[in-house]
Parts: sequence; structure tokens; C-alpha cells
Amino acid sequence: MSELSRRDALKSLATAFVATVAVDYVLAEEAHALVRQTLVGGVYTPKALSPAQFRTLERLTDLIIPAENGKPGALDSRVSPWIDSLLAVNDQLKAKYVTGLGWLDTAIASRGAADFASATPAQQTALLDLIAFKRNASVELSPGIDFFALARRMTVDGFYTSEPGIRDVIPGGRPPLPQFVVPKESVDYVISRSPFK
Amino acid sequence: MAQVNATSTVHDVVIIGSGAGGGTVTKVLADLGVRVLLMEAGPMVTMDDFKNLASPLDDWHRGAGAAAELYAANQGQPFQQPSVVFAPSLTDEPYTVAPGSQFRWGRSRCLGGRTNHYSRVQLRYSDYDFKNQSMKGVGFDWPIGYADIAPYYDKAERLIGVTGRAEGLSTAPDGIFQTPASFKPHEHLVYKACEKLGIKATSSRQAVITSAMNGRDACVYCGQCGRGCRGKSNYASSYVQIFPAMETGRVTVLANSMARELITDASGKVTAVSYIDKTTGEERQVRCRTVVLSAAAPESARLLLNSKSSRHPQGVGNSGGIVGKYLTDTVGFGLSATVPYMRGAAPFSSQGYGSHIYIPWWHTDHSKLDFPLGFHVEVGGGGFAVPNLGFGSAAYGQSEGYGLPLKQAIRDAYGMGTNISFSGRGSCIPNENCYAEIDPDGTKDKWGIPVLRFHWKWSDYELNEARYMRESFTEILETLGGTINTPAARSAGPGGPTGAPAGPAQPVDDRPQLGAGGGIIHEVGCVRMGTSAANSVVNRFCQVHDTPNVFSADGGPFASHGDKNPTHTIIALAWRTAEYLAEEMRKGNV
Repeated sequence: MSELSRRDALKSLATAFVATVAVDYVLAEEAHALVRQTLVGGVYTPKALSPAQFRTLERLTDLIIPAENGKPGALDSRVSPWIDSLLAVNDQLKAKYVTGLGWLDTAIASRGAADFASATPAQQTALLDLIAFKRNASVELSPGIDFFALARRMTVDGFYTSEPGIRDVIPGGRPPLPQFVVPKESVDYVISRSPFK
Repeated sequence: MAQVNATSTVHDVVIIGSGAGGGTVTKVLADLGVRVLLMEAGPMVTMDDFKNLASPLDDWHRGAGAAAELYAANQGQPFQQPSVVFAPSLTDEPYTVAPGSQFRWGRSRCLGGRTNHYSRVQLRYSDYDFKNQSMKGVGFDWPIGYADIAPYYDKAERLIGVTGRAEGLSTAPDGIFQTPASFKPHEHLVYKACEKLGIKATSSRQAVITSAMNGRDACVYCGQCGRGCRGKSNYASSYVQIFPAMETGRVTVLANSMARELITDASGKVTAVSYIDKTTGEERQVRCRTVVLSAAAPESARLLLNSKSSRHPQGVGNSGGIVGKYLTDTVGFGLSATVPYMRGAAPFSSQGYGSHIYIPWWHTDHSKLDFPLGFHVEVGGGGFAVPNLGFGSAAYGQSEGYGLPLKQAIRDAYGMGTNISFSGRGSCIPNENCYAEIDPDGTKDKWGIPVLRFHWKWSDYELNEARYMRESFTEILETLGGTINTPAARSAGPGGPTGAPAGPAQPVDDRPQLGAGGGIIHEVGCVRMGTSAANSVVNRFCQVHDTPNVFSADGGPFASHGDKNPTHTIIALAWRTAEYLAEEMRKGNV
């Protein structure tokens, strides 16, 4: 299932969740999160980037933090709207993104695609495989490497401060908690590997 | 001289400072039917000022700043939603440090003072902490003992709630405890390592309630006690004592009011408090029958020293020249270890209420040690904090790439329970070299009030104690399979917020270098308790010897300083003082 179609499926599931149709618990949790995000954020209209630039940003963040095992990634966690909102209040940062997103389009055009957003996943990852690593620094690639480092930093920050991101690292959720429960498996794990096993 | 506005009302009790001591006196007196005026140098706070459950998601920018400064200017740290004001560097209200000394003075200017921010470690003093000279052969005895204070520890625990487990240790007296939360995985390792070495570790004793009580919610385990608690689940004098006391109608709060001087009459009795209204800069006075000093020990000493008159040529309470003397702090030394085998433990919401374990001092026989008083250990590490902006930097800084491998690298780094840290908190024995005085060079603050100058020198007792901290921490951490991280953390950085030049470093030997005095923010003494005006400032009821309508209710009266964090003893002592004051007022003695 492609990312976009899976996203659509989750949105359908979200609708089903609202309609109280019985669904798998984990997926229902995600659907619930999506419903909440949709209700809170609504459909986002870019404030700083053009629609085309925003689509490129969405695809880039999706590649940096993809969905996994049916759990949302950056795309469904409203990371791109958060980044765009920051660009709207800082011209310096916006210029970096406009330049960087444009660089992606130019770079991928030389590799046979019309632009980054419409390129095939293979074309997209081939380019990222170059600019995601500082060892590939060159006159040609360094502008892309620098932009990717900024975009990755902000995508990671945006995702892990979202509810899906928090649940990705704290499956039990964050406080407030009604009681403090230490998973027995966590205790057993460290004890079994310690000098006290 | 500026015109001074004075009101005709004579307040029964003016309390100066609203932290643990002032909050306690306010609550106890109000409950006993006494009307009080509570003066605070900072602003009033409300429950909305506390941000313990605030999330990055509460801000549209999630902490990047309203102009995206975090990324545009490449700031190192995300913007944090500020909680109530805690200002260790008050530029308008400086202090100075004597050449050759290092001292830091952490102050809080808001209702509740430092109880808004402290770590909530809530420990009873032991019997020997009140009797250092007679039981340990060093320092000074208080004119009261554990039995005098114990009933007030009980009262405090029933009001504020303290977690813990009864262990029967003479070095850590038991109290009336709330059920403690479970140990975290790394804390099990610490417990077992200590057990193997014959050391008793136990549940931490925190001013946190795990069951609802007194109209306060049970803890929700967010681990952000330092940002205040919207559920009132931890202790802060504001919502545990002052707000309830205000409901009696017997408390008037005078915020943004910086006490300047105690005004005395021809007999030497204090009749008014002069203060600066910080909102206008005007000097005003409130008339009073009695005064309680609870501005924090050095600040209370400063007020006494600045209150000179013909009857008090050296300042109120200072006929024996003791005000400002015998200042102490806590000896702080930290060490941490990496425990690689903890990597991969299943994450969970592990904040709890901070540390759930601590190690009380474990020696009762000091004959083989080169220091006379001990320390306790506060344990950190092993946790899984709720992500904030910048959360993944450690992982993606080390592992380039993107996609699922990046997510896995972040999860691996997040399962960061590979670090365990120990913070030693040890006794500091009063000495002649640690004191505060009015700055002899005439430095004044923004309000024209003469400031303090601090003198500080650790003695061999403290340095030897820190060496044993390092040795014993190493042994415990290596017993659980850890590798000691170097360099060892210091207790506090050098220098002071006024930019006073850092003094020469302590002698270099095999003992850890200790940070600046005051760095642990446990400064007590300066207004010490004793048997006469010749050897002390206040009597056994914290009443100033030479000015009986003035009382002290902060860390000032501490004649010695145990390894225990001082807040619990400040509260117990203030409670006892307030009951005594009310009774003396009833009898017409003050």
C-alpha cells in the first residue's frame, strides 16, 4: 500500500471510528489521534510556501519519518503545517526552505523527474541517499546536504512532539497518569542482564 | 530623604517572606485566629502560573519561539513555557563576593519563594544533627533536640504529605509516610548493589502525595515538580498553606514589597517595617506588633544588619555580633556511570515524581573515616522523558540517514536508561570563614538598600567528605556493572551572578574540588539559635534575644546543618515558632 493510499485508509478508519464501528484497538487509537488532529487543525492551507512547495515538503517529511506498521509518521502528524507556520514568521528560515525545496526539484530534474513531489519513490530515495550523508559533500551536493540536515532536524522535532511521535517512544502514553506502573518486563530485562541475575 | 507613606493600622504579625517558613507561619497563625500581613518581594501567583503538565503542543510553535528562533538563530535550547519566577540572577538586587571566595545565592521572588521550585526532598534531621558538638565533637549544639521538633515533623507530614518507607535508621528518622511509588528499573539495580555492600537504600522521601488529601489531588507522575503542580500534589507554600490560609479572611498579602529596614522605638522594640513598593518604587511602612523574618536566611540577616538605630548600633539582633555568621550550605558532589546492558529496556512513562529511591547515610561509626558527619545520595538517570524539541538530536547527530533506520536509531538512543547518576548531599560544619556581611564598599541595590557580601571557604571536613562520596559512589556504581563517566560533575560552577571575580581554586589534591558555596541552594545559618545574645541571635523558640517582638522562621536559626535538605526542618521549626508566638501574644508577652 502506498503511503498516500494508506493515509486515505486511515482517514476512512477515522471516520469509521467516529461512527463507532468496531475496529482493531491499535488502529482505533491512531484513528482517534487522526480525528483529534483533524478536528483541531482542520485542512491546512500553507501560509508561507506555495502549494507546490508544500507538497514537496510533505513528501520530504514523509520520507524522513515514514509511517510504520500502520502507525502514523510525519505526514499524518501535521509536521509540515508546523514547519510552514514557522516559516511564515521568519523570512530567513523561509528563504532557506524555498531555496532548499527548489534545490530538490532542480536536482531531481537532472535525474529524469519533473519535480521532487512527482518523482518515483526510487528517484526520491536515490537523491536522499546522497544528501543525507555529510561524507558526500561536494560543490554540487553541499547545498542539498545542508538543507536536508535542517529539514531532518525539524521533522524529527515536529514528529516526536506530536501525539503519534510521543506514543512511538512511550507506548503507554504520557502523564497525567492515574498510577505509576513499572512494566515487569522492563525490570526483568535489566536484572537479567545485570550482575544480580 | 524620600517621603515615606505609613498607614495607621497596627498589624498583629507582619511576616516577611512567603516560602516554606513564611507559608507555615501564615497557615498556623491564621488557623489559630491571628490576623497576619504577609509581605513578599515578588509578585503574587495563581494556580494558572504553574505549568507542570504543559506540553510543547500547547504552543503553536511547540517551543521554537514566536519567531522560530530555535531554528533561525540556531539556539541551543528550545523555549520553555516559563513557570513562576525563579531568578538566581537578580540584576536589580545584586550581592558581592569577597576576594578569594566563591558563592552563589539562588533566590526566588514570587509568592511561595523557593518552594515553587525545590526538589521536594523532605527529610527529618536526626538527633545528632541537633547535637553536633556533644554527639560528634564538632560544630555546635542547638539548644533544642530532636524530641522538641519531632511533633512538628508529624504535623508537617500530616499537612503536606511525604512519601517514604519506614526503615528504623538512626541516620534517617522515619515519619508519617504516604505510600511510595515503585522503584524504576535502574533503581532496582541501585538497591541491589547497595544491598550487596551492606548499605540500606530506601524509597525516596518526597513532599508529594500519592493519595488525595486535604483537597489536593494525588500525583499524576509527570516528574515536573519544579514547574509547580496544578493538582497541588506536591508541597509548595502557596497552594498548600497560603491560599487556604487566605480563605480564613485573616491573611493580607502584600506582594512586590521588598523589606528595607525594621523600624524601632526608643526602647528598641520594632514598631514598623519599612519596605519598597516595587510597583512604584516608593518607600512605605507598615506598623506592627510583631515581625517574623522568613525571607531566607541571608536575606533575613541582611534586613537585621540594615536595621541600625541608637538602641541597635550593629543592627537588630546583633548585639553579640553573630548576625550573618556561621553560614552553611550543603556539600554537593556528583558522579555518574554508564550501564550499557540497560539499553533496550522497554520504555514507559517513567518520570514519576523524580527519583523514587535514595540512599541514607549508612555509617554510624565514624572512627575509620576522616570526616565527622555524613551525607545521603539522591539517585538520577534511567528515565524516558517526554520528548521536547531537540529530543532526537543525540541520535541523529550520531547516525545519519532517514526513514525507518533513523526512527530505530532514535528509539535506541531514547531507551537511554544507560546512565545512572548519584548526587551526594552532605553535612557542612559551620566555620568562622563562611559568613555574610553588609558590603563594606557600600554597594546598594536598585532600591538603595545596602547589599550583602559573602565569604566562603570549605574546610577539610567537607573536602574529605567529598572524597568519600567519590570512593563510595564508584564502588556502588561499579558493583551494579556501571562504568564511571569522567570527568566527575561538580556541584556548582564558580563565580557569582554579579560577576564577582572567581577566587582562587581550592588546593589541588586528591579530593574533588567543590563548587561555590550556596551552589546547592541550601544556605542556612546567619541568624542562629543559641542560649544567649553573646553566642546567637535567637533563642530556642526562634525569638530574637535582644528584640523579643522579632522572630525568625526560615533557615536562619540553624545552628548546624545536617546532610538532610533543610526544607522539612524549616517547616517544623516555623510551625513550632508560630504556635509559641500565638501563645505569647495571647499572654500579652509580646
